[in-house]
Amino acid sequence: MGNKIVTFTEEQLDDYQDCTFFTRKEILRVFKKFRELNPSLVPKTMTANEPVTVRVPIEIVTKMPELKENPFRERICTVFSRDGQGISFEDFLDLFSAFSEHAPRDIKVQYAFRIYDFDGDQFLGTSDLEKTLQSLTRDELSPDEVSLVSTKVLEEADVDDDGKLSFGEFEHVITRAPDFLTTFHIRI
Amino acid sequence: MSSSREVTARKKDVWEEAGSEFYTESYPSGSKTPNTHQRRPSRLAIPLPSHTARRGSLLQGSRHFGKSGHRRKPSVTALTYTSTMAATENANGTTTNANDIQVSILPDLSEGTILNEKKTWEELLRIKSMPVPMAQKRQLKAQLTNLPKLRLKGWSHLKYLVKKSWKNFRGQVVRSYRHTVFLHDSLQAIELRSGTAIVNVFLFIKWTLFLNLGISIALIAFIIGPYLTHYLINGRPTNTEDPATCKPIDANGTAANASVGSDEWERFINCCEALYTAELQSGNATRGGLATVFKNLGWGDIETWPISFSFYYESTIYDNNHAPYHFDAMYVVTGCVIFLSCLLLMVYSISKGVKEVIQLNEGEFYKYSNLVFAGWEHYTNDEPGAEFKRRVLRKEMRIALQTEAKKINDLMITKRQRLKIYFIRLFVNFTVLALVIISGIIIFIAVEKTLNKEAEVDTDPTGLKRLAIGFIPSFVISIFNISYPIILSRLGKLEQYSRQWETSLVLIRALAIRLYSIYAAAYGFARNSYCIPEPGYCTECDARHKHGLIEVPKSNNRKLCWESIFGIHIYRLMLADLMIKIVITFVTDPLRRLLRHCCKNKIAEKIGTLSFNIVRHSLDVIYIQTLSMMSFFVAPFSPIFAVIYCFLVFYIKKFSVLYNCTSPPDTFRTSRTTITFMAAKMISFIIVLFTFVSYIGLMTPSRECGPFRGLSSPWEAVEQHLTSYTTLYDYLQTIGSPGVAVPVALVLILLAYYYYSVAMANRAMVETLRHLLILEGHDKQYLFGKLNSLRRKSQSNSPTTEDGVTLNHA
Repeated sequence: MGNKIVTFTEEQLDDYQDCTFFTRKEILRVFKKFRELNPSLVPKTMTANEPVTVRVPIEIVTKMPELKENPFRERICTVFSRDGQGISFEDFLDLFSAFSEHAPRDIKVQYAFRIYDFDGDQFLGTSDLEKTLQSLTRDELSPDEVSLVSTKVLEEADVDDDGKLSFGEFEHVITRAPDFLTTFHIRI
Repeated sequence: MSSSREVTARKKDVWEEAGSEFYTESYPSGSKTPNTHQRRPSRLAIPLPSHTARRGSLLQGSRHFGKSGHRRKPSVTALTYTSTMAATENANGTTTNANDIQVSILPDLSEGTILNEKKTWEELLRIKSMPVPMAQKRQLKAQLTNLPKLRLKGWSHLKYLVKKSWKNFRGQVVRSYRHTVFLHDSLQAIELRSGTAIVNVFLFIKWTLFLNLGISIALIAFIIGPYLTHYLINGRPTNTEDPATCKPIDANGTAANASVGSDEWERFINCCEALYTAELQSGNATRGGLATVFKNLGWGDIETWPISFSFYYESTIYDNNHAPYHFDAMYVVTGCVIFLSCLLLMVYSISKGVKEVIQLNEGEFYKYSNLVFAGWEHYTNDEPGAEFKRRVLRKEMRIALQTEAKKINDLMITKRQRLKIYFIRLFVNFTVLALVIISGIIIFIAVEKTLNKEAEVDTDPTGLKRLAIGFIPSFVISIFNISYPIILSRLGKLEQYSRQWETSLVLIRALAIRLYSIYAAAYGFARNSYCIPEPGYCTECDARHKHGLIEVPKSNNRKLCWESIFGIHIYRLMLADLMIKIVITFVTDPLRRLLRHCCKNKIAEKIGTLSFNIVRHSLDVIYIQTLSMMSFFVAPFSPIFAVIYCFLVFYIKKFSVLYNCTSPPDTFRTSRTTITFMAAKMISFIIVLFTFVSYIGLMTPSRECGPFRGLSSPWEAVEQHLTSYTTLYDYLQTIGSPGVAVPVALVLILLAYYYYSVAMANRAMVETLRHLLILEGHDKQYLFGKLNSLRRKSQSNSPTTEDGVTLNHA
């Protein structure tokens, strides 16, 4: 009825609903946020291949209000972006779906591991931990304190004593962290 | 999938193996393992990935131990498997691709099984939780939907439909509850600004609000509503007795020997009521300042309003000659039901807290990992919020490090220092006790003096002066409630306990002071206005009970309709508390903040930094809940007022958090105070329960007002009406008798012991599994070393046969 702009096809919306933790309304809201990043680049209708092809550069995504104060914003965008340079709408949707309140712990743990793994070697080594701490506290802790805290973390979590945390160890520790589910979410 | 069968076979193998190794208490090291490996030569041929995968599945097993097996998620196990597989591949120099993970996630289609509808639907639901890019998820979904499916028939089809619709419905309800829930926007704003630790206090306020709302609804439905409708239709029944003829009956105690229920007794009760109404109308202003103000405003007697106990006059309500509504019995029964449901709620919330406490005590609270990995709150939009959270996190980390340093220092403490600390602690405990007693005495004196002053006939017609005097005890209590936690936390720092213990102590002491202040005021009131009356007299105290727990009032008469006076005092307490909070938040605190900006010396800065003290604010909520539950029996509107109070306090505290409190609070990431809060709630609930029980069973109700006129205790009303239902009464008697109670108690004790032993067994199992993990890790390292040396050997022998070393991942 009238000139209603169709943003997504029914099939796309159905797929997105089944593949993320969002409802229809929320998906459209996420799209609005995505479009606000760069209205000239992102078209109003994404019925064809645009959700995959249209990519917003990471620098612009890290400036959005939900992410701009996040110390891990670059890591988050890199983890969710397919080519490491830009974020398509589907990547964007994946990002906020993993961070949504309805996502269960397992998927958040998976992505958290990838985010904290700065060097990408599938392990959280001492350098990863130190970089995490520096992003968190922004050089307010002295280098001694930083290394002390990372040693303590390894002491707590590293069960097999190899000096780095594998995914299994990380998962074990995180499931026993009572604050994880409450802090690891972004509402959009 | 043959390797998975191999894996499970070897898991059993290794289980027994590790058992004997474990008991020898030696971990495989370089020199010892050759023996073990000669025992199991097949172990050399084990490809390493399955080794680590076993550990992955072992972790899975240990995590799900105790839960039913069907919660296992095959996709996650597969992921652990392949991620560790990827890890070892990386060790060999290749890189992994996220695409590799997809292969293992597809359900097992190779064996030719056709999935039925239900399994397909469950697999579809599982797609959401896969950490792969959207394009792959869509592909997966397309593949799953295009698979041929078996249709379910009959019963299983029905079950599947029911399960599907229930899941959809529940999802929708949860979503709509979370998004349109009351006060949602405020909670979000607070969370953006100051994080989840502070939001929890506000959630507690909201929970208390809803609890009081529930209690109010129950009261309105069973007590206030029916009586109000009856009153509006029929009005208050008139009393046939004349005060003039009644005075001598009361003065001489002529009805002293009348049996309960006889005509003489009825006449006596009606007489008391007539005297009471006469006093209300006399204009003598002996009923307190608020009553005078009400009268002067033209609103009539406050004690004829529904908020007052004396409004509820009739013990049985007849509606148009239908069945009688036993108002007095229902009053007591509603009260009991409310307490019972609150108890159940309390048990439920405690059971949730117990889990956290057990985790803490089992040593599985990983403090630093929790801080580093789960410390940052990702829901932050603006600069002030982010800065605040950073400061909080930094503070928490410093506190954690300091606790470590303190632990080490404590080990090296000299005997002299230890003695000094003990003396300081003793001194602090005495000081706290002295403070508590002093506050109790001051409150008690204030209450007594003001009550006496109020009862004096005063020339002031407006009653405002009397009103102001009447508010003094409430203000005194509120001032103590606010200032004491500050003093207590300063004292607590002197004691040099660990941070967790310090917070718990401050909480318990502050709670003790609050509860003590309420009960000191109540005691002062009781001493002034209540005693057990002598039979035959309306208010004259019984000489036999003169030396009981509570001293008899000086005038040897208890106040007419003491319940409604008590109820009005409670309302005044709530009002005074609210007013003080408003003054502090909107007047004092902003002034303190201004002080910081204007004067640049150290003291001004110290006064000027405000932080949101979580302990104090949580205690405020427990305090109002205690007040409401303690008094809803004599002041039926107090839960309703508590709802309004919670609502207003929510916004007052929100203003405080967003605008006044800028420095980071003492949050509890490094110390868990769940058990202390649980204990605080439980203690206040038990105390309130005792009050309720003593009121229902032990105190004599007023003879001149209320539905329990003439009874020796409110519980008697229930007993009287129960006897008419003989079968129910007999049934209840048998349940309450020792013949039933003792076996039930025994069975409960046995159940408790059973659960305790199961918990012990689980604990032992966790220890065993932990040892296994460590052993596996050492095995792995040894084998890695062996592999590398083999590789080096083969490389030095023949550079071209490198392929012979790569392992088969079959």
